[in-house]
Amino acid sequence: MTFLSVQALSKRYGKVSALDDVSIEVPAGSRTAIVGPSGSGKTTLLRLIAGFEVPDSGRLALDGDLLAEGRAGVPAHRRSIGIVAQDGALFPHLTVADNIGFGLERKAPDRDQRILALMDMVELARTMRERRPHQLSGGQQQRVALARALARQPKLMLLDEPFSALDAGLREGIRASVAELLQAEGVTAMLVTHDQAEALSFADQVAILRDGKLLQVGPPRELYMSPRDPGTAAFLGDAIILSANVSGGWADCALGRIAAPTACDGVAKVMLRPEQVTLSPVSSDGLEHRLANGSRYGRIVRIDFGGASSSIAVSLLDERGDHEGPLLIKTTHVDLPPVGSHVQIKVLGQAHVFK
Amino acid sequence: MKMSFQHLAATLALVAGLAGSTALASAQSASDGIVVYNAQHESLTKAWADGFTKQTGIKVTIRNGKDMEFANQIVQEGAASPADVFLTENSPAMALVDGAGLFEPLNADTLAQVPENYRPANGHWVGVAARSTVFAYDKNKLTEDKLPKSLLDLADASWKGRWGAAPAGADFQAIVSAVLELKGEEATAAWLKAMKENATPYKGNSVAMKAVNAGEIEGAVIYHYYYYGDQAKTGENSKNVSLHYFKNEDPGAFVSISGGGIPASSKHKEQAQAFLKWVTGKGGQAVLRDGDSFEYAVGEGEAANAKLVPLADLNAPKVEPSKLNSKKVTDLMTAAGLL
Amino acid sequence: MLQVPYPLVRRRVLPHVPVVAAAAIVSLISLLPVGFVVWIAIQTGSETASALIFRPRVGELLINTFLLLAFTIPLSIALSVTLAWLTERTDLAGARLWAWLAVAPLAVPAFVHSYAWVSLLPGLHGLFGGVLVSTLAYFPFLYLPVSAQLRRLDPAIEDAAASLGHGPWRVFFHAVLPQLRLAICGGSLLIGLHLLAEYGLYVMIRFDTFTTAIVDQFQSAFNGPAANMLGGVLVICCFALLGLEALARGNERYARVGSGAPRLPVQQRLGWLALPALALCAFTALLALGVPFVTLGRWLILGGSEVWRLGPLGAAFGQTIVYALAGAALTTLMTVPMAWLSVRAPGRVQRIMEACHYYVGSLPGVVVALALVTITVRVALPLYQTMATLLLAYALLFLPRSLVGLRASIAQVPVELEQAAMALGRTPLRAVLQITMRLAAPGVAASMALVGLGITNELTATLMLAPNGTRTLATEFWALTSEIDYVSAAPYALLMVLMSLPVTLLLYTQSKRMAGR
Repeated sequence: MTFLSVQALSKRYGKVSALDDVSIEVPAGSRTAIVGPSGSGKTTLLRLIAGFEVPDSGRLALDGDLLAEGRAGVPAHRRSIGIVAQDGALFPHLTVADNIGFGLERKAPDRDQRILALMDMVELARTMRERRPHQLSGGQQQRVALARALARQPKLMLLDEPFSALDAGLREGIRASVAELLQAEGVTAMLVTHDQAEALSFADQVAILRDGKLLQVGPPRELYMSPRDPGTAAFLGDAIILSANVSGGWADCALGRIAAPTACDGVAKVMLRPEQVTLSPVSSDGLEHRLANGSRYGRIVRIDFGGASSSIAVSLLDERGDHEGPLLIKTTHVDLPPVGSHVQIKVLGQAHVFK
Repeated sequence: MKMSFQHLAATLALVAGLAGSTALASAQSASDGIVVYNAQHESLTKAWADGFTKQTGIKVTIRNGKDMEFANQIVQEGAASPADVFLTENSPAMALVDGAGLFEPLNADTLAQVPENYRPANGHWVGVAARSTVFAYDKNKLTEDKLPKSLLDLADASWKGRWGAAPAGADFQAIVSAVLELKGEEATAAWLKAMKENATPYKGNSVAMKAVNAGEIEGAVIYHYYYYGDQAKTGENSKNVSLHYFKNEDPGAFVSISGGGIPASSKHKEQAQAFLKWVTGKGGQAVLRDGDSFEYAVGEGEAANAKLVPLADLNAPKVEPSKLNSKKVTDLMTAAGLL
Repeated sequence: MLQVPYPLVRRRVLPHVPVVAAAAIVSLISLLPVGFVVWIAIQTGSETASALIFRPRVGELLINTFLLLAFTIPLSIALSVTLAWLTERTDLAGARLWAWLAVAPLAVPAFVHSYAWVSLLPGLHGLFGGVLVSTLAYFPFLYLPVSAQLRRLDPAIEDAAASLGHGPWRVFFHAVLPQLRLAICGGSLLIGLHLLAEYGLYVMIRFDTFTTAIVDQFQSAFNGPAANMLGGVLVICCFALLGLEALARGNERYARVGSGAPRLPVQQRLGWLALPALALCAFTALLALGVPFVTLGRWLILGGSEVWRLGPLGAAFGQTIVYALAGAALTTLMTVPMAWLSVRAPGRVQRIMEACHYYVGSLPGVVVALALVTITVRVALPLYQTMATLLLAYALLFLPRSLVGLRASIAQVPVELEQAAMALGRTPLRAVLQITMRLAAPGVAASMALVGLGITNELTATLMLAPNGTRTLATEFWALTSEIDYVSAAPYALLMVLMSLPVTLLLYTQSKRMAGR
């Protein structure tokens, strides 16, 4: 069931089109990530939903209530939408408790208990309640910001790159606990980020924005494996894009014959994720013979060691022993073959065919 | 941080409250009692006001300004003027307000306290004090035979750079109005033109006298009491100065009448009448005689300060005070480049 | 079926309509004085007007004004650049102390400077006296920005110039001085405008300027056409100064203050110049601070306890505080909309309105007062001679001081905080008040203090507009010095100086902090 409905939303700043005819449906209780490079309009979309900006045209509805239609709209303070900003936007002159209680009724009898409950909920030690924002770490600040926004039990929670200012080590843990918390509280959430990995891991639904236009919406896995075009594919992660001849559920390409979806026969570009490709060391004797057999081999020309995962540049060998342009392949292998050695290339799963 | 901000705010509020109550207390004084537009020396009017309040209990709020400023102001304010009494140093400002028909006739008993030659015939205002024009000169530089015989002699090229005056002040402008009344427009314009050439302008009579004392100029056209006032204090600004009275009914022997009047718009006419009656009566004139203003008393039978040359000996020209034309004077002086 | 929870509010192309309207009203009010000058010129008629404008006296005043500016400004530039260089860039002994002493003369109102000098040298007058006292009273307006800029300059540029074989003098004139241009232009403009507006100083020192001539005319004929026309010429002089400064400044803009120089500048060794340098600093302090404090002290000792008439002194002090606080509050209130707009929603219309706010502060008090006297006495009589009108005059005169401070403090509050408050259910107005204005409060308080200082030392507008019975420290001081009662005037001068000192200290520390130290 659609909870938040964004219909044909457009916004221009002078001659620049920040958002162009964007529509998206968000189911209740779900988590949606809007991902796009900077300048793609994702923050504009968030600000329009929050009510900080007025759309030029289009329509916004939340839980059956019309929020905006063209230039007419419900003001921000009446939308019951929570927001967690990039740096938390905590009020520097208020304590942690006062920040969290900012949206609560001042004279509510259970105000203090609710603040403590919220602190528990976001896993903040109760002893911190009298601290000032500048005495907190980045992660703690974001927890306070989240608790503050949750205090009003918003229908929708907007997260504006809330994890980007955190240390790499902290980021994943906090992201996971926030996702879990939102899930548990049943709060519908929308995350804006430029980090595709964050979007894919956080959300049930990912929307890709570029130049103010919505390129593709769908579940993270679907988007990752079946992007609409090579650009989208590259944005969501490393991709190996090859020319292929597709027919009858097979794609013939530089990596040999790979499984492909049926009913898209013809010459096309296909995509593989580097994770789909495995390399196994072979001796270089009698390679010509084996090449003629249809198996694919390559020679390692460069290795960029990157800790947990390294990238390996492999140049393909064809039947005549010639070299084609090198492929970049991510691997998590512990013992990497030396540069110059030969490897056999195998492909797991299906190739994605661009139409 | 939070505490200090609250402290600051509390302190500010406290200071504001204290100051506010003081200000309200003094502002309240303006709403009862009478408002005096005072162009006289503040110390003199203050002494009058204190004496009057002491005797009658009526409060007096003084607004200080200059003769012509107030005269024109009262004309512009018209019926809305907050002034209950208007006191000047010279009569042209009185004539201006009277000419606009804005004065309330004064009570007969007030008028009766002042001889006819110190008030206009129509009784719309009254003289409250008088001052005489003098040529204050540097006694180290000038001897009696070298002094000008007439005020008009100062237009002579031989006086170039040797004398000064305070042309922006109402005092000097009153003297010019006497020249205009006695010698006519053409002669006055020519004399002012020569003055622009010859004289050094000062801001105020006492400054001009200080310049004479310091030897910057040889003489200055001022009123008499600046000299006596300084002599009575320290004499520091007048130890090299002597006074020359022109006499002979010369324009330079002009005696200027300080006036008092009641704007017709006054909401406290009774109290205002009482004030002028007190000023022109025994109490007010005694302030002139015994105080340190050294202006001449004008009340019927009231003696001036014993140190002064008696008014009767000054041989002043006969000038009808109500005829002095201030507007013409400012125009002529503006044209001469003195203003 | 969609339901509408609240009536949808239609928003216009220009958002923040109430704020824009408020700023527009203030802008219109700030156009009053110039509107008045134009209106009165039309009313006077071209013949009378030109007779009053094109006359030798106006020529004289123009020459006086030109000479005053032409001597005072270069002298102030030379003095403050030298002092700034000595205190910021050399191993001058006691540089901190000298730096503070170069700012402290601001605590002494200009007319108290002249009071001190005239007491000391009764013969001091005319152009020489005017230039001397003006320079001493106003040079800190140049010293402050120039020393702040010197502190910010990247010393690498000087090193580079020196490594190219330039001697220290050449380095200074070719590498350092050009970078001080903005600071020098800004400070000179400020001094120039003060020279045009000052009244008390030039009356005491007997030097005629347009402002003294206007007051003379006012005292001779109230708000007559002659005074008004002189006011018109004075307004043109102010605009000419603004234009000149814009020309001299070129295309450069006053950039926001950065985070400061990356490293401490190298301090030049003075060597044999150390003694002359110390002598210059000491001599300047002696003239600009020693003379006022010694004369003030002398009069206070001569007067003894007699001059401390607590009744009138306390009343004047109380009224001054009330006017300073109320005026500062009104000025701040009037500038909040514009300050907020120029930070949160800049645009072309906003820039024009901002220019209105700035120009009016460059007008002398006498022109603003003339306009308000005439307007209230002719068309707004209930406001005539009221506290409200005087406060409005103060607000107009000090709009720029307030706007500059407010803008900077609001700019330091991220807009996200305002939005967070709105998302937490605060109306936009309450969000601005509870968050933005609360966080901007310390900066706002500082700019209010500056406005209050201006009001405490204001003379001409107060004399012309004050309600009956109003006595401020400045007007009482003025009344007493006009009767050459220098002894009784001393306590008033002392109180004004004491009230100004903390604000001057604030200015000093602010300029240090701005430069990142």
